[in-house]
Amino acid sequence: MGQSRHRPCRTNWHQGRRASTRRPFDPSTGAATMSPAAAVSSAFAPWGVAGKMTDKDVARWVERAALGMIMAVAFAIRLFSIVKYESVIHEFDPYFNYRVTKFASEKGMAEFWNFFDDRTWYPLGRVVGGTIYPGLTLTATWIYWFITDVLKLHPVSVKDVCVMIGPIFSALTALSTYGLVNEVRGKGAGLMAACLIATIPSYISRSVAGSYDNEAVAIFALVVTFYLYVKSMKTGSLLWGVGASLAYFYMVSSWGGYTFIINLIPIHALAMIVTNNFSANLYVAYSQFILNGTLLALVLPVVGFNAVQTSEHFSGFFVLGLMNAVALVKFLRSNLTERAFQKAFRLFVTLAVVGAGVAVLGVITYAMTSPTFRWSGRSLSLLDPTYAKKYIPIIASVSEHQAPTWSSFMNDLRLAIVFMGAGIMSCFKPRLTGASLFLVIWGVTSVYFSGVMVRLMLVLAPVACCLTGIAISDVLDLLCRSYRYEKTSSPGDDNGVSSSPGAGKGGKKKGRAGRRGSEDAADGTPYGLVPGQLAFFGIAGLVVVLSFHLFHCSYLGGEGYSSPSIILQSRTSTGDVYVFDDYREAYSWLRENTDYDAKVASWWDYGYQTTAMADRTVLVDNNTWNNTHIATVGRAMASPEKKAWEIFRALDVDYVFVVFGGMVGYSSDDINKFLWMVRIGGGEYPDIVEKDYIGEGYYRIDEKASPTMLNTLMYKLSYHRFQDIVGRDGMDRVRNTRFGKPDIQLKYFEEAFTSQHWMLRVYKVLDKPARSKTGVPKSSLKN
Amino acid sequence: MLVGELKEICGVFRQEYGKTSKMLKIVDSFVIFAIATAAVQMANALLVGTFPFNACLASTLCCLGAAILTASFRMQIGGGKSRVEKVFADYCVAMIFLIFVSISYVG
Repeated sequence: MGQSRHRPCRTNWHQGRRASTRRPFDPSTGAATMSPAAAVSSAFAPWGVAGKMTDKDVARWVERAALGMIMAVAFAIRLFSIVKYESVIHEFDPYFNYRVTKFASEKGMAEFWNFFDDRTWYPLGRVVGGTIYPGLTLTATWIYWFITDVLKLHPVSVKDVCVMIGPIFSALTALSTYGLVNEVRGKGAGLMAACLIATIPSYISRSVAGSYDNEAVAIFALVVTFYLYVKSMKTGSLLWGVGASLAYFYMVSSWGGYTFIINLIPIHALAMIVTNNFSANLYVAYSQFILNGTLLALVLPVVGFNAVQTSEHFSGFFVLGLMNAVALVKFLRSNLTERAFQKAFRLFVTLAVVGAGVAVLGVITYAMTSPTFRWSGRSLSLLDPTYAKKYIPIIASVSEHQAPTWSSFMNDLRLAIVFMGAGIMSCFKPRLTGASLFLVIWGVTSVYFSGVMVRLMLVLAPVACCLTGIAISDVLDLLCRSYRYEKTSSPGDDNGVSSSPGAGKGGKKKGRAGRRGSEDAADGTPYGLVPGQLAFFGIAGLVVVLSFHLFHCSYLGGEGYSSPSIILQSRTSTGDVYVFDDYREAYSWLRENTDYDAKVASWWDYGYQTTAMADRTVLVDNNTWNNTHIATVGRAMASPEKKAWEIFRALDVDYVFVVFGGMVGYSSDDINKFLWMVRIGGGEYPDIVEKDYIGEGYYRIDEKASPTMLNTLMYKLSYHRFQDIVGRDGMDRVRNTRFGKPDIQLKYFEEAFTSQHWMLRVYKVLDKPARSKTGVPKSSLKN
Repeated sequence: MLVGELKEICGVFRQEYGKTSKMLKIVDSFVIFAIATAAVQMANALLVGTFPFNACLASTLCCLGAAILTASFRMQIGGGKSRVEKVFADYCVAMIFLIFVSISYVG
């Protein structure tokens, strides 16, 4: 790109061939130049101001129709789970959110903020009001109140609202993505990006109907915050800055991933300063965002003083100081003569370096000396992927925190990951603006983080869609222009060269009307166009590729990501669907047949579901805030029966349940998770050593398993009376081996309930050891 | 030598700065006032303590925010590119928002 030739200005492929004198929706002139009332009224007048349908009006209505269809598709593609299974809350974390939402909708806001949950983490309890991110639950509560009290639509239950939050907010995400990419490149790119994010499988997986988790609203908040920030940066308007701050407030309240925003925006601002792009607009947008954002983040109880005290937030203040210094230098420059400015600048730089050095030293000593003010464990494990495995096994054990494989990139992002690089290159043409630099930096940092943890692929999905939208839109723009040029093929009609200014810097550069540079072809064809037939096949090919992508997305949305994981399905030999509903069966047994105050112990995965569906007090749940308590439960599961009984009696446990998949081949059972119990228990209690549980050669449960393993409570509870079903030589269908110790007899526990497919097994903790060994076969009751 | 240089720079600055309009000078003085108030508060926090930390933070950030908003306002009208009334309206809304949030946080 070393030559100084002019590229023809790219026209937005919606806007037709002629430059029009009025451009109410041209993003590059900035909508801020119109008063809000005029903008709204002209948005809805079908005939525009001229009084008849022009090309522009047709384009505008096509764009609106496309946007409406994109939002409808975003909503509909997430409804597979309701069609295939039922309208039920999925997985584990959503059950906690659902319980809190139910509580808030019944008791009101004051009770919500003061909610202390004593049904979990027995005997510690959990302060919910001060430690959850309230965005999701409060959004659902207010929507529920709006529907039942204002619209008076009955019967709508809280569960219905919670199930539908994902689809609704993903439609809104598509709308905001359109807005964001519109600011960067133009409407065509915006529509393409919106269409991609509406259907991309990575986002579908976390926002499907029933997946009532923070990411369902957080991704919407993320994109809206970025859209409003880019808008305020382009227009330099304080009003848009207020909007950006409010959107950031919503983002902070929804998800812990807000630290990504509060670090990305300073990095971007720093890049702008370093590349000599500092402008008044940047200062206005950035400083207002950081200040308002900090103040708003302080208001939330879950963040509180962390917003000014933890290292994750310091980059914002650092760049703010730097930006103020740069602004001050510019101010001095405009108020001093050149010579005086040189002298002042030297003085200022020395002072600033000394001052900054002292400040940085102070901050570093402060951060290092107070143990709570360093980077939190989760943030550190992002920067150093091996950190969690070495120091915090509980973070390493979560399946979502593993590094993703290539297949998950291709599966979840498909087209977006392929075109993302082209999108990054497209951002550099015709010129790197603040908004396109933002997308580039966002893309690069997201790619790094998504490589660390598979659950962060979700942060990569929006930016991959934006960049892909830009790339595909640029290609389509070129092809369509070539095709149209071929059709009109009059040498004086240089479609793309005149009319609207380049994207990015609003309206400053005039269109280069009719100029033919030296790079045009000999017959006067403007630079860069391809022959018409080639363009036609190019467009057709691109349509085919995009269609295959959509087929893949809807297949994956339907088959891959819509399972609620609390209900399992399989096909019988005749092709019918067979449903495994063991989880809910066991939880409702617990709810109906045990005391209200009974304490239930299990591995932490099932804590939220137990409190929400079985409505019983649990020892540990998915919040995993207390590693020692979880380690105690893990130690109990890994101990011999008597020792485990003592541990459980000390914690007042009445029932213990384990998940066992050996009869039906369900591989996410507790025996497969058992080594994590050992590792986490061993992290706190040194008498639990992992290699004691490994049998001959590898972790196994057949005769060659280690004797410690065969004696653990987990083993006994899982395989108790298993030989009644599969025989003494029977196979465990998950491990595909014979199990090692038939005739298990329990002295301190008594089997209370086993679900239909033996997936959940509930045992009562006896007060005194049984007189006779409880080996007498009981029929497995299904109450 | 350092003092001499400083004196020279200050002289030139005063000369050049005197050419700015009166309105801009008023705005500039408000920025300096806001920063001075924030400095007073930080000194108070150092000397007396930060006990109701949320109140300390809310007041300091409010002053700093006012300074930054006014500086932004000054940047936009100083360039002479946008209409002063429109920028002032935005500035008022932003200030009201800032003060509202600060008051709700100061407790």
